[in-house]
Amino acid sequence: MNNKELIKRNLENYFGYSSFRDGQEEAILAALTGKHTLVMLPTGTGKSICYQLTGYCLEGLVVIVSPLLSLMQDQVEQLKLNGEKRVAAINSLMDAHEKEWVLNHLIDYKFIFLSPEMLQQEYVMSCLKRVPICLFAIDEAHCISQWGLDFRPDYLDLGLIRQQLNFPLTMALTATATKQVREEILTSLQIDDENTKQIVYSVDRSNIAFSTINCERDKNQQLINHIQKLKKPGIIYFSSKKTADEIAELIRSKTGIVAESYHSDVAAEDKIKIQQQFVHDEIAIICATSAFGMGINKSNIRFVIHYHLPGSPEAYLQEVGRCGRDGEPSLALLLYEPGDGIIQLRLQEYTLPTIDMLEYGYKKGVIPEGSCSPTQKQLIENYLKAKITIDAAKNQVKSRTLYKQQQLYYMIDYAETSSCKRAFLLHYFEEKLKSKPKCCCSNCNLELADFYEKADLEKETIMMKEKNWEEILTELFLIGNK
Amino acid sequence: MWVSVLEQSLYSQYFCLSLYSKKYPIKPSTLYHILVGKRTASILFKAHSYHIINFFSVFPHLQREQYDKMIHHFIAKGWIKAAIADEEFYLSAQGDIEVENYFSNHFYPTNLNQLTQGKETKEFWKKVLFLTQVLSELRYKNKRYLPIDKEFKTQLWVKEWLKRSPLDKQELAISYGKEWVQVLKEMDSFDAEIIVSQLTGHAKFGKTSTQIATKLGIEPMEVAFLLQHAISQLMDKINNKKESYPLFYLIYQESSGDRYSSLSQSTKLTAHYLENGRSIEEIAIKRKLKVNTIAEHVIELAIIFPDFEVARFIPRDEYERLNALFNRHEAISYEELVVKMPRVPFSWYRLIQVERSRTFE
Repeated sequence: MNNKELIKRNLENYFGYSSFRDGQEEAILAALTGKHTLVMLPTGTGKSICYQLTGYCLEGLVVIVSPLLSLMQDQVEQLKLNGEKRVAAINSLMDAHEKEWVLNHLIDYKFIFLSPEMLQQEYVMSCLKRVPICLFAIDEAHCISQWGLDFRPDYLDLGLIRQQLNFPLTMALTATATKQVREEILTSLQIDDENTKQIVYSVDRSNIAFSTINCERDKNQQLINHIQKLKKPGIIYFSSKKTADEIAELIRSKTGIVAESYHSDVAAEDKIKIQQQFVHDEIAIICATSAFGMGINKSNIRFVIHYHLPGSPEAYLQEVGRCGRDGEPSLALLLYEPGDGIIQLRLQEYTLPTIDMLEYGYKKGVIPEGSCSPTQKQLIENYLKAKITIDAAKNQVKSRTLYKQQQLYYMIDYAETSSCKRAFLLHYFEEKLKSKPKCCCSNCNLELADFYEKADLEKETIMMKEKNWEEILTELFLIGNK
Repeated sequence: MWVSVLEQSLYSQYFCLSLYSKKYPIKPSTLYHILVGKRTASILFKAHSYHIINFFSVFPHLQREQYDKMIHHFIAKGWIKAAIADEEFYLSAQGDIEVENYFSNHFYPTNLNQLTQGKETKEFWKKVLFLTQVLSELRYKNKRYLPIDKEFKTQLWVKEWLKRSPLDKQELAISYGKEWVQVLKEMDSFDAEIIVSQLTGHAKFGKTSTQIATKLGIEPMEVAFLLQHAISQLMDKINNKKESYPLFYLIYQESSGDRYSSLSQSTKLTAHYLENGRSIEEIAIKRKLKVNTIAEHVIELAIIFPDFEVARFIPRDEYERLNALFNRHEAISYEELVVKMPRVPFSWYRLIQVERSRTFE
């Protein structure tokens, strides 16, 4: 059996799919011939299958470096859901005892997820060196680049880590990276050019239509009007938790649509409930901050609305990429009001440390407590830990501030442009629009009515009779009426 | 407007007001520390003497600013009035009526005890919820579901628990379901509904407290109290009729640590040394801590456990002399006391206070 047949069969065996999506097969085949790969596939098109399936075709452990705890946790759950028991995440959520246990049983695992910090620990590395690693995958690889969406200095050492692990077969994955970012990823990872294949697919998702509505102090009204008509389920993104809560409440009280808010302040047990209700279509609309969506496996999301202006084209594409994973027509709607850019600019001020904070941090070796936001604190800590000189750190912060502003200005221009929105976004990623889909954007004769609900499904769900507690329990455990 | 409803919860306001008393004055800043659960011997003592030790740490996330605003509101409305020492407040007659009115059609928590049962209840509930999901899915032979509990520890516990059971897995799931029905039948149907609304299992997903609150037309805070109440009822029923609920009782047993499980690590250690007959001084030397720190632990233990013996920490004749002084003047201050008994440490004074207040209750 050749590799092509092998991966086809494994796709069915392990994931239950009969065909690959764009780029997956190419990436896996390249990896299986021993090539390092940089895989750039748009959000929501099954990037994780690339490293998972490659792993299943090879003997040995798959190590996945992942920057976000929640993302890591979700991927572990997804693999478990697929029946994979040999999977664990080693991160700060684990207590010392559990960590020790997993590290001593690495040989029994197939997939190990690690945060980059964990790789800094000698003990972790010494355990990893003892087992055969068949694939070293880096998820959200754009974090390596200081020009990436969310740069993480601890990602910078991954090249060194690869060296210590004797240059294992490597796969770097990302959804949105400009050419500059992609080159920086390869350089930092110390991947030799000759033996590397880049699998780069357009960030464009033709089934997602782009629309902007210009509001004039009537954003809430516009929002309510549209969500009542639009086909659901959908997500509305906010930059502020408080607004997310308030709008969820507004939707519930004004429309009777089942809406919930989701952000970092929601209690952990409620987060799981809300996720599950949403995945099973019991909630029609989620009002969320960017905390929601990563790892949510829901293919029938029909719209993503942005109530606030996203900070960058990368972030915007990543968030709208959560709709229409089933390939059906879906809508990315931006509610824009002149002046929205200023709010975003204010928010950005809190994500990067000021020069004063940097100087204090470097002088005292500690972070000024209370005066920094958590992200500012994190970044200073990272700089200190990475032993970057203060001048270099200052320059980096300055250029990042400027860079972030440029990204934001691009989004303001996107909101205000009268040319094709899709082409405008693609241009940012140095791409040209090759063929215009039928439902393209609000500047290309898009009819929002195409995305409206046909029948009134809402009322049906409300009409369902509610069961009492005993009926529910009887059903949960199939006890039978006695 | 909907914004203001979100920003201030009426329920928590009336609940806080209800903690004030007509009989003795309360210091608002101390009350704040009690509500958020600042665990020092002196705050615990205050909670004890205000008779609200059960509500210690009920609002761990309460913002100071928000709290102060609320207190100003109480004062402005005349619901609480200042005692002679301007920093303390009594509940006014008007305030009393307000509390009475509000809670005539809202739930008031009576059997809460965060300090001694908080941890145990949480542990029990977590296990019950997760087992419910696992066994319900097992009943449907479904393996593809998202576990509601992602903690390695709990997942491991469930695995072990299932492995230990001699019953066939399907039978186990049925028995568990039957115990559920049986125990909830013993309870108020409202409590049963609240409990079942929380459960996640096959094709059924638990509701959040906000969702239940919306449905019942009350606030999430009240739902949280109602749920706490229902869970502790559930635990009582199981404990009182162990033989009827063998599966649930097993979970119950594995959730209740020793009686010190809700203490801080350091106080717990002191408690264990004390049980082994060590004195405060010995413990201090052994643990390389100040005598005063250990004495604080002892005070904490005396407050939390009404059966904790106090007399053993004070030499017999001093113990008697102290009590005699208190008999003459119950509200004696420490400053007044040291005039008469100059060598008495503060901790003795406090321990006597705690012990005497027990008999007064």
